[in-house]
Amino acid sequence: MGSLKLYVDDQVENSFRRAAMKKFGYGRGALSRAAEEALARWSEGSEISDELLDTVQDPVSTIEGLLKHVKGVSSVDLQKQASKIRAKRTIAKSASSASR
Amino acid sequence: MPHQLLVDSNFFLELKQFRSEDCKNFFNLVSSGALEVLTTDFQLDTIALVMEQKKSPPSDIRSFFVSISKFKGLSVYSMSIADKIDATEEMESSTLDFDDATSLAVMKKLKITKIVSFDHDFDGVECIQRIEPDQVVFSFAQDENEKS
Repeated sequence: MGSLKLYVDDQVENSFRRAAMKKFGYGRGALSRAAEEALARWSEGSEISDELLDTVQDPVSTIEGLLKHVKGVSSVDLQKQASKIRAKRTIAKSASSASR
Repeated sequence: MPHQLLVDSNFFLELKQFRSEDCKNFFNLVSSGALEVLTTDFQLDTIALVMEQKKSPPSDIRSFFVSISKFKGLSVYSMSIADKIDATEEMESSTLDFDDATSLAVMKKLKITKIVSFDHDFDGVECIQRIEPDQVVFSFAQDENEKS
């Protein structure tokens, strides 16, 4: 078993302690179990291959280029449209699976 | 240090729109890690959805997420079911739709009081302040001046 000494903001520490004890109880090891789960989740979620990461040098310019054809409508309208698309797709998919 | 700012998805979408320069300056600060901000997985999914709708190929959507992972100052908050339940409560106590209410729920949970957004629906929402990129960049520059 490895050990880590971490320095975190008081607010984060308090909320972590509360959540860990609520889930794993007030006994020994509750904080370690919660920390292991959190650290594993974070590191697994952050693992992106170097090969992929190397494809992007300047992330801001890359995103700018990727969105070059997304013009004409205001960004807020695009965002609101996305929510309608989500809803339409869910309804269409559920209708099509119900008719099968 | 807890985050002070939540970034709305329209900010990314504005990168090729009318306020692109302001957004670019803002995101360059975030990319370098000089400015630390937070967004949610839900906001990023919205951008992917817009890209797909605008016929971006999957490789472009992948590049978008890879780029996001390279922003040194951007943390992505993964929303839980509890956050979504909170969002429905925010919908009841405001005029926000579900998408916007998810942002508000996360902000309240993490005690973030400012949202960087062009969406005027956030104006007048209690406990939070909507700000735009030029304001963030300006106040960042002011803080840096005071430090030096």
